[in-house]
Amino acid sequence: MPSERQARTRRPLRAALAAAALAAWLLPTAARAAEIVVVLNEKNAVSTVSLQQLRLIYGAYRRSWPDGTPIQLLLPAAGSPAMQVMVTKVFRRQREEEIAQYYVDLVFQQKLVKPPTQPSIRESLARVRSQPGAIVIAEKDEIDDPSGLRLLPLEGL
Amino acid sequence: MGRPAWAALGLVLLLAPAQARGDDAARIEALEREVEELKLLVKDLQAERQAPPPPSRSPMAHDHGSASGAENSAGWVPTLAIRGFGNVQYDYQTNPEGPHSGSTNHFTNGAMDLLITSEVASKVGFLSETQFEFEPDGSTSIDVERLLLHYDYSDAMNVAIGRGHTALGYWNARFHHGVWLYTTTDRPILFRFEDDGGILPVHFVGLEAGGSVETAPGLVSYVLDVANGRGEITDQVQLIEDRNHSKMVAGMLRLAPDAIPGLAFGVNALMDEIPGIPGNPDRAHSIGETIAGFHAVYTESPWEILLESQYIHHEDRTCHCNHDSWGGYFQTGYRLGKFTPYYRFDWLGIDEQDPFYTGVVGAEDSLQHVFGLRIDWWTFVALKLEYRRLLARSADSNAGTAQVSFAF
Repeated sequence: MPSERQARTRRPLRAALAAAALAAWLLPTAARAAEIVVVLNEKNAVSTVSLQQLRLIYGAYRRSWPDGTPIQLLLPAAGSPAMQVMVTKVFRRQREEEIAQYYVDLVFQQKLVKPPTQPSIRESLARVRSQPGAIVIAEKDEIDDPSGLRLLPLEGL
Repeated sequence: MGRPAWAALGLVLLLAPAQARGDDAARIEALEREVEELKLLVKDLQAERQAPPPPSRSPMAHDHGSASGAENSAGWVPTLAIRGFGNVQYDYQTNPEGPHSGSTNHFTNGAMDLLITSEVASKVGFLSETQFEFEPDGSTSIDVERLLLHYDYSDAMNVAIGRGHTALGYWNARFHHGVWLYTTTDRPILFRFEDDGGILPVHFVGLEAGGSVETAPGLVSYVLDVANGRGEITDQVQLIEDRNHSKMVAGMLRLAPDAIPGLAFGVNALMDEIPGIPGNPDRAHSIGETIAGFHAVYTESPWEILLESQYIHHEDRTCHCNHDSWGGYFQTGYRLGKFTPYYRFDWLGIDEQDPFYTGVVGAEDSLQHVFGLRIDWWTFVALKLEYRRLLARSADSNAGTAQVSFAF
């Protein structure tokens, strides 16, 4: 039978094991909740988009799709999980405002006429449906109606 | 069981079906109500989907790009965007040149930079950058620094015509006149503008082609310029004529390897024929100019590390002699949230016998250390605090600047 001292030392261990079990149960749930997809127009023939390709697209190094259609950049809504992915994974910056600064810089460098739009998710999806060259990234769960859209997993995330 | 109990049981059996029928009717009524509500909801959603989307609410919200071919429709008008940059600063300097030697301190109303961009047609854009400069005598001058019409045929081929910044290394292509864009308060000594003691032809008037190609090692970018070239003196950008038949040719090539995101390195070269000055025995004939440079940069957040150098060779056809000058800078900064501490080291080595640089203020052997802190207080407003130690052939100086720069 364990002594009181042994029992005391085991309590933190049990608590840690319980916390780890809880985290193991919660983390996949959180990951599922933030599943990010690339949203394209259904006429867009592109079948895969990697993180590196997304960097080139949103960095304005690649400004047209393989068939020549001009790329219409749309940014995820401010503060959304998709925008967080855009900041930390695509642009590899620290703060959302650095993206705004980056695009003003690109306008100045003559790479863009205007910074890209940052509409609501509903407006983004409507624009992607109506504009063949449009692109946005979004949480998969946010897209109730995928008609007219092509949803691609973001490879390399 | 007594008689009253049997009577009660009978009453219950008699009433129960009627109660069940009453419950069913209520449920059916509730379901019908729900169906009607759902019908209305679907109708609303359909109407919303067909209606034009509401305006965006982001500060960055602007339409980007037109649908291809839309410019040919009756309702098409070119889009226009106006942006600008400005700065105000306080300067303190010891041992400056000029009549107020000793020390000076003053507020300076920095230049106001107006950037106008327009999408003229699908893949065709216009850009103009006009600077309002405030002179020491109190007057204001207006300089059209860039004026370009560009056609973006593809990622690999873009063509522009007009006045722009020459393909001369990293800084000149990356940064233009808006001080807010720089981490520091000012440009490196090597890349000063022509009207500010600069020794390089940072502006061109002519044609520019450029683009980028994705290759196995990484993104390869190029820029080619064919332009009027230099005038008789350093501060003479030939806007509407060229004093000789030869044209300036400049090119730059850069590789950004995929293996190390943020890293890029490149080379550039320029050739020009600087016209002679009739009546000036030291400049009777032209000067052949060759400029070669390299740059290596690492701009993966939070780091900014820039290293660049340019070598200038002048073949003087009057004295049949050569003059060589060179310069460069190393700059590093590290972003910690809103704060970016930085350091830059500038160097410039000028051949004093070169008649082309005679009388150009600031064109002398010099070394400069720059220490500073940039604070991005708001997204488009930055406060910069900077100290500079200049060791120049004519005089050494210490200077401090507190600058507020902004984009609007």
